[in-house]
Amino acid sequence: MATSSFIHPSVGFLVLAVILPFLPGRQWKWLLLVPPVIALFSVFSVDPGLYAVLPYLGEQVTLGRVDSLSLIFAQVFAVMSLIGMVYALNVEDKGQHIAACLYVAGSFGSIFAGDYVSLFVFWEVMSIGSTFLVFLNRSRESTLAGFRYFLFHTLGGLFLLGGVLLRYQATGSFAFDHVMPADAALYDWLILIGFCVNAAVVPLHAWLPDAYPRATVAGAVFMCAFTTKTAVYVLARGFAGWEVLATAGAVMAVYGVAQAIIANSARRVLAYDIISQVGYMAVGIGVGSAMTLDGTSAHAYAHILYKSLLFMSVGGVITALGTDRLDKLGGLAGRMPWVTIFFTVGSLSISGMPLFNGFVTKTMTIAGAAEAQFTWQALALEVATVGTFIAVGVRLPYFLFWRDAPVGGVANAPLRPLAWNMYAGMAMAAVLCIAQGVYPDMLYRYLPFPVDEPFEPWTAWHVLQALLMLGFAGLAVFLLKGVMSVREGVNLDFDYFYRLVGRGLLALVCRPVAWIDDLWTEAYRVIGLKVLVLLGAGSSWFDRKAIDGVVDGSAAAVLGVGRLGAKAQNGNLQDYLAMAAVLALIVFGLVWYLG
Amino acid sequence: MSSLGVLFERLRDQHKLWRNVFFVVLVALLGLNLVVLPEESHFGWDGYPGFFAGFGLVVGAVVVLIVEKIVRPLIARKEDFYGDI
Amino acid sequence: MSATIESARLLLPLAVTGVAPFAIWLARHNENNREAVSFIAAGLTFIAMLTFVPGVLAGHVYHYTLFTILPGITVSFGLDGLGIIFGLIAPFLWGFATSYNIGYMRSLNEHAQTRYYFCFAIAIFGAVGVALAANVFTLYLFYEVITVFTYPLVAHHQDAEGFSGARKYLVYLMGTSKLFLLPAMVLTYVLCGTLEMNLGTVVSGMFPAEVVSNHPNLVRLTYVLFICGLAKAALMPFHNWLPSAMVAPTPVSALLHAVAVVKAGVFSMSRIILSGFGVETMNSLGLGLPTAYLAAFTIVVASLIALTKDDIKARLAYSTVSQLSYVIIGVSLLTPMAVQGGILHIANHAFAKITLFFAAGAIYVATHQKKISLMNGLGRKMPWTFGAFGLASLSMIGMPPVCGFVSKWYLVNGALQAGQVVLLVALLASTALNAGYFVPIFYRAFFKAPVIEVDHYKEAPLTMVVPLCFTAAMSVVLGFYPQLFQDFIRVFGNY
Repeated sequence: MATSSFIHPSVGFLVLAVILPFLPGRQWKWLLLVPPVIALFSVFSVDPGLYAVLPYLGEQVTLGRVDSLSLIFAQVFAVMSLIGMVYALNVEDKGQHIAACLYVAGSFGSIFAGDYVSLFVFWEVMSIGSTFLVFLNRSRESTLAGFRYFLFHTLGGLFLLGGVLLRYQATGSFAFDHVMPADAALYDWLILIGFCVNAAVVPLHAWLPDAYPRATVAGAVFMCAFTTKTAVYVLARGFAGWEVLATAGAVMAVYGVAQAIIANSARRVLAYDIISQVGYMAVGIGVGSAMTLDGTSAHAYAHILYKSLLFMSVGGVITALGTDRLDKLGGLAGRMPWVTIFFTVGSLSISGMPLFNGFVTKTMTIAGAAEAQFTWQALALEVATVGTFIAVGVRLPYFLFWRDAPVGGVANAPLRPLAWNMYAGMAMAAVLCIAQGVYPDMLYRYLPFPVDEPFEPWTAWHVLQALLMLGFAGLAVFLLKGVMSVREGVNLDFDYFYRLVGRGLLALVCRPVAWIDDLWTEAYRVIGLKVLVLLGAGSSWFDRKAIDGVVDGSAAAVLGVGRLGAKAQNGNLQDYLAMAAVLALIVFGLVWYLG
Repeated sequence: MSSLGVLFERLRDQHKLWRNVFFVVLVALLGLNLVVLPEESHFGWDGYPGFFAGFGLVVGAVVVLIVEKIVRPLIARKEDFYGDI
Repeated sequence: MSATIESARLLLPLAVTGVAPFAIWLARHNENNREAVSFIAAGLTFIAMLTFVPGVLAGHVYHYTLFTILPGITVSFGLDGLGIIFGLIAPFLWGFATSYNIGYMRSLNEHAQTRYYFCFAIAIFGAVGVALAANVFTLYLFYEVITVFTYPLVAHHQDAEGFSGARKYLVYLMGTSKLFLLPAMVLTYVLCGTLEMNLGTVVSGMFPAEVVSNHPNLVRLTYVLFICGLAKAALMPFHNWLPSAMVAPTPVSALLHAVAVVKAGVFSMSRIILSGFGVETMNSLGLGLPTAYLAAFTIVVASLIALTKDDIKARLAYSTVSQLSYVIIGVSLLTPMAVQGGILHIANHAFAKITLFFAAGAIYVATHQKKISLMNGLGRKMPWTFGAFGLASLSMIGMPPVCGFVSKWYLVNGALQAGQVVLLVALLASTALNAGYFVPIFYRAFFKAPVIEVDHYKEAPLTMVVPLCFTAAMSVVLGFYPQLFQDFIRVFGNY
């Protein structure tokens, strides 16, 4: 069915993951850039269509569903994979690169999957790859966080699998297409739950702020981009127009910024902000109009760029000083000026400041939601915009770069230098953020759904509105600067309940069951004894020791509860054979009598 | 320290100046808001001058106050609350 | 198109595995000669089984009667798609187990090695006999041979713990086979007039339709007796012998839990259900679903218990109990996809589980550690061992692209084909539980700081590490090419 050929972007990453352990020397690092370049080429050159329809497990699976929706996500993924690999060039640990390759391969595979079977396979591959990106940070925190991450994502995957299978049973097909809200069945809700886990919908979100701050520096850069946006894609593909998503998104948007404003770890602030931003995308999907779906796609594109930029800059701080705890940092503007610049680009983008890509994308979703009469959701998104600016646009840079460093803290320690490639990665992302902000058409031309009246971001009003809202939010922060604080500690989230469930299962289910099993395992002595005593009456005739000679030491253990009982319980083979013969005769007699 | 770093340090030292510039810009924006208005209003009141300024100020203040004064005291815990570290 | 071929060639694998023990005993004075016998015997047996592959794939069923004991009771052998799977796996893994045995027994300087290899060989003889059994009597005979000759393997250490575990092993297996399996066989003979099973088709078994309609309760009783009698399949509540048999040296556990004993158990159960009773009889008497529910119960409860075990072999033992019931649930659901998944799992589980036990033994040989909580940081010292462990764990969890995913996929689809959503949920829950007790072993080994001194440890001898890496690699290969075994199953069930 393909007229042009299609190099599936996953292939390059999978091949690299497999051969990387066997490559010697130091030059293998440059190979890291090859799969992203192939992916970029593939994404920009392929024509829409269905490719790579293969048999697997008795079904026809489609590995290459290429259309405008999958292409825009694939495009930003390809760009991001290049930026990420550039940023990670200095990482010596091959394991991280293999994990990242598997992860990215899984994401591309999920984007292009045309059916639920291949989607599920790539979904799980993504989960494995990202788990290792957390594990490989090798601290105690990270190991435990990685385990929780894997368990939770496995559970999400099981909901997905269950829904997919029930759907197959009901409809006879694994095809992955849009589900009309009116036709929703139980299995669609199960699939939705599975998707919502990866999208970090509240209350299934706590894995994100739990794991992302504990991943490796480069790993977090990859993770912030792929898992949630793949989930956004599949939601847009399958569940556009489901109003519950609009409500969920509004909740996510506000919840995310609320937690972000009080978090003490810089990466945790950013992690909560991911939840908030994905909330915008969820609202866009929930509204389901062409404009909001375009807005979601555009926002996803921009978000990947500026969020990774933010994670890269904070990663730079962690590399330099070993921590991202806000209560310990400050005054880095002078000591790390370039990181400051790149961070600022990112934070202005995320806030929606004109001249940066957040401005040309966020507003589309909000406008679309308001136009479609989803008024309070749109309002919630505006509130979240204010919150984001406060959390990431003001608080985070203030405590990291602009305030005076706390006395005697780690902030005054000598800086470990950053590798050149880290700056290169940041620069690439920053340039794209500004380019898209100034020349939005370079993004808009790839938007998947045509609209009657294309959105015009650069109007006087739009600019003024953004500046007003952000400016006066800044004023509010200024007036309340005594209230905003950072102090050591964490804030509780829903993972409190997840852990409760886990511990409860172990204590209330597993241990009692194991205890019962421990009792039952001794029952053979009692039950077996009684039964065999009754039947063992005639066994004393067979006392040959022939088998004993071959089977070393079989007679050594004997229970001292009576000779007959001992005979029954001593495991002597000849006794068993004898009892067997007696039994057989009895049964034969019964059957003859009854039958 | 690099020259760029020195520049940023000097900017940090001038923070009072920057604060004043900020206030001037805010006033200018408010002035513009009397002239530049949206074509259609989404929420009803956003057609009025000063709406988004007020929105930003009030929402910002309310969010910060609720989160710092109410939410944080309820959910703040020690760093090693779960015993993971 | 399919024919029953009378072929004395069926005796070849039995002859080789039957002679091997004596050759081992004869070579007892030279270690290397003695081990060579095992390798050669494994290779010859495997090749002998391979010669039957083309015929089986063409749909033929092989048959040979060795001798007759009484009218209707013969020692007969047969081979079809189901049997050849077990018949191929047993000698194939025996070869790897022998290499592993060498590394293990010699590193630990174990006593009575001749007796060990002798009994090992006879156990494989029993396994091959079970695979090739054409009637219930032959099946029973070789089933008991396995029990008798694995007893000394379990009691190998000859200490109090060893004897107590071995005694329990014998009581469970012999007790159930004498109390239940033997009467089941007798009843079958009385009801059918023959003990010949119906190889080559799953639809009809050996019970004629009139017998089933005239004596439904007696047939049901026979079935229940069979199920209770086949304790080697570790169906609850007859499973406790398995964790108790962990007192055996680890290669014995690998053999028991991947190749000979438990596979003989689930194979026999599959054979009885599909070739003994047949899908039609199972359905008309309503026997399948209760078995499936019992299997589902075993799957979930065994995994719950596994979560509480800190000894690595105990955890693996309960995992085995759980995974064996995957086979049973598949076979007893009777739908095409479920049966395919269940039988495929016989092969998939064998490769993954033997890897896990090989790894546990390698860890013990290298470090003398058995407790998971003390294995922190070992992975960096033994990367191949724990890497293989990780791959095999993925198969247990059922993650793509490893083989366990394929059999799980068929099983869940099969559960849906039968309309059993509760069983589907049990299978899915098992996935999560498996992740819960396998992943910690892996991340502890690689990513946690050591709690004991680990710097001086290194990998176990190559004779142990190479087999376990190979079986782990096979798990991945089977995940990409499940056709290797699926074709046999398709021929067997006419799917």
